[in-house]
Amino acid sequence: MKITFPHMGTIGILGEAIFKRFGREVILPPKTSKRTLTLGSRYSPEFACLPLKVTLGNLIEALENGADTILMLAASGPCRFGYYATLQNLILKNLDYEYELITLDYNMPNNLRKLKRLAKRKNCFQIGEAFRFGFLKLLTMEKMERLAHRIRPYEIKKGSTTKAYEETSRIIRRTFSFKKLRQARRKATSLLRGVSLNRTRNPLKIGVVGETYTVLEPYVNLEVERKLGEMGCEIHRPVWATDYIISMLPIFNRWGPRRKYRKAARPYLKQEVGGECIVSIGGTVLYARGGFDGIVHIAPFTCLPEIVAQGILSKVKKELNIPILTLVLDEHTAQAGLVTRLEAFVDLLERRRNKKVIGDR
Amino acid sequence: MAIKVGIPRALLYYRFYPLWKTFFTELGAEVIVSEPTTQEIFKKGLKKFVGDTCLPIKMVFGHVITLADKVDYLFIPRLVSIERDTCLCPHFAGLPDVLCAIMPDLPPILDIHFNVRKKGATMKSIYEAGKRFNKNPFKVYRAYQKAQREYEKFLKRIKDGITPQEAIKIFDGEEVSPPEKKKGGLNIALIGNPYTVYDSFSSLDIIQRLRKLGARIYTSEMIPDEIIEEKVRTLSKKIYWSFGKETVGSAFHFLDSPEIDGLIYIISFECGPDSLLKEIVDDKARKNKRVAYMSLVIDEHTGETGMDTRLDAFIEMIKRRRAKK
Ligand code: SF4
Ligand code: SF4
Repeated sequence: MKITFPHMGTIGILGEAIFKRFGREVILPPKTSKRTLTLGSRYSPEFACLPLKVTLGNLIEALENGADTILMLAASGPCRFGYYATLQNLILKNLDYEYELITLDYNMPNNLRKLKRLAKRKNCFQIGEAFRFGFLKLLTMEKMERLAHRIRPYEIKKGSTTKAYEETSRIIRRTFSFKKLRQARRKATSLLRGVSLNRTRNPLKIGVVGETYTVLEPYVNLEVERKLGEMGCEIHRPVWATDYIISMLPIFNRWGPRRKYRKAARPYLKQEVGGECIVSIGGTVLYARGGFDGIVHIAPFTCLPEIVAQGILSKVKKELNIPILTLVLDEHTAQAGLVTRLEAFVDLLERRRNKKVIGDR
Repeated sequence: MAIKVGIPRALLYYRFYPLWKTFFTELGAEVIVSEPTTQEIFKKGLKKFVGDTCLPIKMVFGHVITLADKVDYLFIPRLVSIERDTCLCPHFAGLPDVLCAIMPDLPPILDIHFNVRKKGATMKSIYEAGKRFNKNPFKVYRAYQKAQREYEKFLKRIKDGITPQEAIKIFDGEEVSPPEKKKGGLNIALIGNPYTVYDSFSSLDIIQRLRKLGARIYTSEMIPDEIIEEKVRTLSKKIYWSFGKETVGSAFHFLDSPEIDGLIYIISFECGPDSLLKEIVDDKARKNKRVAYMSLVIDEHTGETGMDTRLDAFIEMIKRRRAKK
């Protein structure tokens, strides 16, 4: 049994860690690339949302590499995500691939049974440890990413943060025990701390909000965060894979890490509509109140919850007086155009800030 | 003077209008419905909208604008789900908030969380809706019961074989002569979201066009719920969108019924659920050699001539298939 699952940012780390500890072989899809996107869009329905296409591409590439078991999440609406697994299954079966599909949904007892089967003859304690380890590893990875976001605008040599971050990511990915992970963390932190910085700069603060998948997957958002960072902006974002996973658990649904966004969004959106809509709005509100300079809102073309968010953000923008740049992405989005738009946006924010400083005097 | 409640002729108007209208009229309000969609109404809405979305949501903006200065309340329920186990697309749950955000000067919106069909709306949301017109919960409840009776009559009329548009006309007291049954005529099934199919602007009046070509029309509303449930059970995961379930369930049913000659799936461009479900229906239809199938993806730029050409070709295809048999 060779397990695979689609990429979503760094989330693959979690699955890989857990199943390796179960003693299973994991075949991660190759890093998302042009080929992934082409393959995915060739076989997907034309108007499906971008994440479906890219993850389908991931699965095809993993199957080509010999994976024979696919693990997918399948929530139940209201958005399209919950139906991904069914649809991709239909498409892959029509392409004559042979594999077994395992889906995890909100039916917890059922999930446990499925996991138990995957866990070979491991006992409950070992299963729990595997999950704890996977989660910790993912958390460590995210800590590094956060740190990279903070220091990138100060870097003296352009690209040095990214280089260090890639190295840390490699170090962390290699570890498969708690002890090694602790060591890796220390090493990774010192690597990132070692990037030479110019602390006299005063970077713009930008919040990046939007649909989970496109925010988390750098290839798909054309590395918006790195680009903004290298233009001298400090990036914050409300969307993190660990938070996403925690809020999928029934108890934390309401009380989990996303509660503050939900509360902040309440005056603008009275009803949860699915997807990241409420986090996009809540995040924007909190960042605006926190004195950020601007917001970049990322959404795949035709993304339902984010269209709702976009409508509502037009009001938030006026009321809280914060510039918002909406980037709608699809498989044809071009690098060049995106860079121009980002540069124009950063320019605007700088001018705004200078005006404010003069006005305050 | 009676309080005026405005109902946009869009979205779930095509499914629930008799229910809503009876309810508000019973409580002494005057119900005003916006005019059928025209290019002009549509353009008005388009100007306001931020971003890009499906045709039906763009249309509702136009309707709301034309109603805004004529009414005291706008009735735009917050429809999260209209039956157990399924929900509506995210647009429905967010619509009242989006409308408020984009057009702050609208009359107050009655945005009630409605949950009808299976168990009836919850008592609380019914009272929420009615209390502005009559404070007495019993009166409100009675009005609702009456509304539900009217609604059931309306559903029954559709099940007997007329389209929802015509059933609404009958409800409003107009005369509708049921299309005559012609021997040897073509039987064509139309599936898709009700507000795309029955709005004559968005669907370019496809029903009349097909009838002119001599076809008898079947729609998913005519199929009993049990059959739809049974048909979708063959899928590995339940479809959790109400209209999606109806669409796919009835598509499967039509593909299996011997009297149906053709199946047309009408989809609005950029519709989220349908973009995925189309694949499932396409797949099933491809494997079916008997029923002719076509999907029409429409948006505001779809032209009449293009539509006519495609329909003509489709009818030709059916006739050829028949001749072969
Ligand atoms: S949130 Fe957007 S991108 Fe994700 S499934 Fe829903 S529509 Fe698609
Ligand atoms: S179901 Fe489709 S057509 Fe209807 S509102 Fe949602 S996206 Fe638009």
